[in-house]
Amino acid sequence: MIFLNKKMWLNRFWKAFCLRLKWLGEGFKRQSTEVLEKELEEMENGFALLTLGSLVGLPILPSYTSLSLLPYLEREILVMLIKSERLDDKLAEWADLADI
Amino acid sequence: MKNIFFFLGKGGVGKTTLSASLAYYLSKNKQKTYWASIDPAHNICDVIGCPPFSGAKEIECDLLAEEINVEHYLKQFLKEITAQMKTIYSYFQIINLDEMFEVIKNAPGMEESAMMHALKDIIDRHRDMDYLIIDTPPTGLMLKIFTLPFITNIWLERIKVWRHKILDKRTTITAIRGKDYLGKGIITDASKDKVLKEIGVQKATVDSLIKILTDTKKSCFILVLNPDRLSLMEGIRIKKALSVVNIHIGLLLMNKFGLTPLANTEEFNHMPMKKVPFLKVLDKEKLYQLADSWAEDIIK
Repeated sequence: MIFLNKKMWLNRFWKAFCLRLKWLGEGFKRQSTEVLEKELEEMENGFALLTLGSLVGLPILPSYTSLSLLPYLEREILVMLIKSERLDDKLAEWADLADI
Repeated sequence: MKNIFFFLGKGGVGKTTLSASLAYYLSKNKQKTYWASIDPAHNICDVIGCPPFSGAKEIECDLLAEEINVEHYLKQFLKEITAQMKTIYSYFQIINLDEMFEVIKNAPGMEESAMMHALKDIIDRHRDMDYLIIDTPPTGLMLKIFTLPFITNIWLERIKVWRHKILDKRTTITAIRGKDYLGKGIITDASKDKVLKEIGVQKATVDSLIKILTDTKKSCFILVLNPDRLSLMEGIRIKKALSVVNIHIGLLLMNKFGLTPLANTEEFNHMPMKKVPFLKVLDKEKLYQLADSWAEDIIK
């Protein structure tokens, strides 16, 4: 009986240990990709500003080329709009990224 | 053998007249010749004495002439973009894109870009001709058209690298967080990315134009000057601006020679120069005679 309880306890302990290990892994995963995701957002935002800047008054890439790419830049436009909405709260974004 | 000739120079120096003389000269010698004007203020029809026409028209045996309608190229381009936008951005169905594009059409740089594409198109469409003669607009617009492929190429190179970096980052994130983590249908594969594909199409166009413009064996830039100080000064500026993008003047034509005393041509001393005498009356039938003294040399 004692042996069985010990076996059950060990089993439960192992399962709990594995679960926590998984959570730890997920946590590391999230932390590692959060920075990458922010980098990606910045790059997509930059790409949209670079290619479509001439349409919003930034004299850069020739308008003809911008217009040729416009049909395929839906995601970049959305990222750019979200980014510009959050421009007044950059500090909070950085604090969030740094887990403060 | 050189078979594409571009006539450049200050407004009013006689680019159209001399391009016409070469076109008539070549066709008289049984060479299939295509003569086009990319100047928005066309006057090919004035030279040949007929009402304005659209598309390529056979004006003599072996001579096709065309006044390039830039507006048509621009409209066609915007029509294609509008159609693509409507299929991809469903919420644009209710917005009148045509009105929006009326404004974009007149945006700075659009006309030059349309001309650049028109130039590429006419050269591609008439590859079967023996000779192509292109009459260009006066200096300001001409320089913008000829330098645009080089500037566009630099931009396309940069955004291509940037796009590859974006796709690499997307690949890493989706590999860790799952396929649809960034949203459904977000492309991570470079071979399936439509943006990269479009950049590739644009780049192929400008690369091909750059190759044509800088190939001194096939293309020849003819700078038309008058024997006056102003046209010479502008000629010097054209030569300098084009040499920055590796386009070189192949021949100088001193038109209306004898009309005024020849100004100092020190800048062009080392370059081949042909003198075209000033004629009081220029008959269409005798136009080809103007090219008698220089045409043979340049087509060799």
